[in-house]
Amino acid sequence: MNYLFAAMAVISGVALVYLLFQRQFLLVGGAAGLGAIAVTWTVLEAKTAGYRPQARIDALAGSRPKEEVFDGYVSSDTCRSCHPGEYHTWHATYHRTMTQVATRESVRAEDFEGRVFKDGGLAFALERRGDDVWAKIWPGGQTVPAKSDVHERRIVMTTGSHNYQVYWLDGDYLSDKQPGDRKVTIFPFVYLLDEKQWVPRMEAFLTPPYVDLNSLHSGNWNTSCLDCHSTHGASQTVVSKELMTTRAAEFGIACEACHGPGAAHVAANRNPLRRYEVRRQAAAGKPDPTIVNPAHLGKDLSSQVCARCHALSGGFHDAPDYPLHGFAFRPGQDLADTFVRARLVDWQTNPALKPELVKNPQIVRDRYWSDGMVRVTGREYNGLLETKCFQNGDMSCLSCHKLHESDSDPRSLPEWANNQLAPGMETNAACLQCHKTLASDAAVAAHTHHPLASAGSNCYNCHMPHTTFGLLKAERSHTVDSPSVAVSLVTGRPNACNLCHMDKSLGWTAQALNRWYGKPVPALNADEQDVAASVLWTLKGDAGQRALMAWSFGWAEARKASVTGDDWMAMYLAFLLEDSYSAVRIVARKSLRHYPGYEGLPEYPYPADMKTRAFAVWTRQHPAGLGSGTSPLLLEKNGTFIIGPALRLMKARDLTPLNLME
Amino acid sequence: MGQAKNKSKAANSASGTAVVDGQTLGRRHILFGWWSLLFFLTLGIFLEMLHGFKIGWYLNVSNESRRLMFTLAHAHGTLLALVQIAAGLTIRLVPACSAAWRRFGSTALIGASVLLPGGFLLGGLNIMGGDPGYGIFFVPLGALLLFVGVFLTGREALSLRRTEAGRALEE
Repeated sequence: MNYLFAAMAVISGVALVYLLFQRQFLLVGGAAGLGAIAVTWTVLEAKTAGYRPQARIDALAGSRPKEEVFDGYVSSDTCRSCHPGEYHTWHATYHRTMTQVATRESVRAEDFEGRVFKDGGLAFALERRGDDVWAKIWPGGQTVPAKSDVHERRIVMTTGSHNYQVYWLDGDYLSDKQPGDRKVTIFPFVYLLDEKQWVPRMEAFLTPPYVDLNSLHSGNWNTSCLDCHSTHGASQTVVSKELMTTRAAEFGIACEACHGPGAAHVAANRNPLRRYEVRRQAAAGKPDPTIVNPAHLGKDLSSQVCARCHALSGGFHDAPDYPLHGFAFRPGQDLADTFVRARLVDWQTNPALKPELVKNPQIVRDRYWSDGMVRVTGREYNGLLETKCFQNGDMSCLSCHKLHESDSDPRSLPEWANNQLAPGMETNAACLQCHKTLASDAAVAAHTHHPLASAGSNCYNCHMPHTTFGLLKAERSHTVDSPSVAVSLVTGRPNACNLCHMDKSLGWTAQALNRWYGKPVPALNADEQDVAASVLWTLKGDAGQRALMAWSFGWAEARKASVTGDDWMAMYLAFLLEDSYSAVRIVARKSLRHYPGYEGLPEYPYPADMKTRAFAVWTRQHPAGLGSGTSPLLLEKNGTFIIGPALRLMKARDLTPLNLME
Repeated sequence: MGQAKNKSKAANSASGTAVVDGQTLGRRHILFGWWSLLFFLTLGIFLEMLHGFKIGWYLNVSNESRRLMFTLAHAHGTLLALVQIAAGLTIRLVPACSAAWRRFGSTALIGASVLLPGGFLLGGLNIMGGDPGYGIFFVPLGALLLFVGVFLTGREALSLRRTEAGRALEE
């Protein structure tokens, strides 16, 4: 194109001279104008050929990982000018704010001035200085630390903005290194955003109580978090493992995490005429070949874009290139080329996973239910892989999720950003995209055997129940399956029926499933036959099951579905406030927030008599005790346990250590 | 002046083309300018209303290009309307309006006043992400016509007679 305009400029110049001599001033003006346009076009096209990123100002260079465009990445700032709408909706997402530079706006913690945090033998105090937050660190044994023992580090980065927020201090205060090597170290407490509370980071995970809860060594942004919490991160060991330079094309999960590096796209589309040609081609179904749009990829490749982070993996094949250039995977490529997939079956068959299994033999139990369904959140691709709708149909992440909100979406941006579902996809419309025979109200009622307006008529509640745990809450499994008591018995995974009908037993569920869908009734013992399934999982289940119960007792739909009311649930939440796993206690406290009257209970750290205080609230609220039908709940009328069976079940509790690290 | 007009008319009739005289053309530009001004001021009020009622079609970030195009249409249309009035008045002052201006200059100015803001307006109606719709292609054409029109009008203005008072002042 620039040759064309250069030729035009030359022709215009010659014409100009000729016309001047001919005194044809009318045409002189025209020739001069055309010449000016041609020269400007030629110069602009030559100047903007290729893409040269502008240098970014990094005021904290040297003290934290830096943002730097490299390897063909250009950052969202560049995308904005041509895609303002997409930029705007992405800007509202929690993906964007997954990693942020610490500023007055991004640090959302409150209530830290004057408070001393203790962890790992050290004491910490936070204070605001202007727009910054600084941590003072000293040996934990000293009440009034000597000045020489106090180290000061600035909070330079944050992780998370949806559930809780993690803070990163510049430098490595554990080895007394000074800031300057771009290494950041975790602040050992996290801030729960809804509850406005601080809890030790390791207690925000479902971790066995007797392991070292020292949170200080648990987070390593430079070599671990940056892989998924930034866009195109790379961490280079310069001198030793202690000294590293870490960079990312952009903090947070930005445009190019899903669309791939944009330099070639930007360079090609500087030409306005090309842009119009690209639009014309796109309207005819031919997308711009210079950029990846996951919506135009097939179900496998588009889902793999998400799987890059939302899947359990055994590492990446391309580790040698990683320090300088990050992971080799780019959206649109087959993830299997660079990524070690980790379904449950892969741990038994793939030798690449063996080293990890040798290092941590518990890893399988800590990640999956025994039938292979994933049990930790954030690994939704694993859920999808086990789904028939994906295996045999066209289901992909984008069947339900939409990563940019459309203008016609009636929801506000924050509402949409909460789960980034496409319009209507929080309803049965999601499944009706394929299961069209269930489109009518009559068909839904006949299929579900539940009233249309009830939670039991929502496809998700039966076919994608809350059976994964992480971030101190239960999440939907992302595996589409059907409720089965037999599967619950074998795997221990709560079935959808009993996650809602928490006052009912497995026997009750088995009979209903047999009556409605012809499912065989499995052999059940007396407890499974008579005692509410939620009570069994609470008293004798493993820590993961107890955590799911602690969350479900606070779930509005379950509280509504219990025919015996929800008063008894508060009693079990009080019981779970004494659980040996911190995460279970924290979730139980969170659930109690949904019950009126418990607002005055202490927040973390919970006192030793927390359960007694909760019980006192309950007794005050229920002077007449519970109504009838308390036997399946193993509760006396006054709300205390029917001691014999309750103790027997507690003695049978599954004490296998569980470490659900999402 | 009268002789020049007669000469011009004679030349026109000799060549067989129906080229109107400068006075008539000037009046045409003034009329066009005022009506055009009315149209684009009305467009301004319309845009104000879109702001007032917070219409997403105009104000949403994803419609940033539309807002820019409509603003440009309003601004260019209004300014060019004033240019039309100025050109009309100028031509009425010129003692002998040249055939070149009558044939090309006038047409170019009118064309620019239609194509430039019209291109922005059409470009804003059907935006394509960060780019305006195909209507934007009228804009460079309009810009070229404006360039030609202004050049010819300026050239025409060179022949404006100095007034007696002005001449006396210079002397």
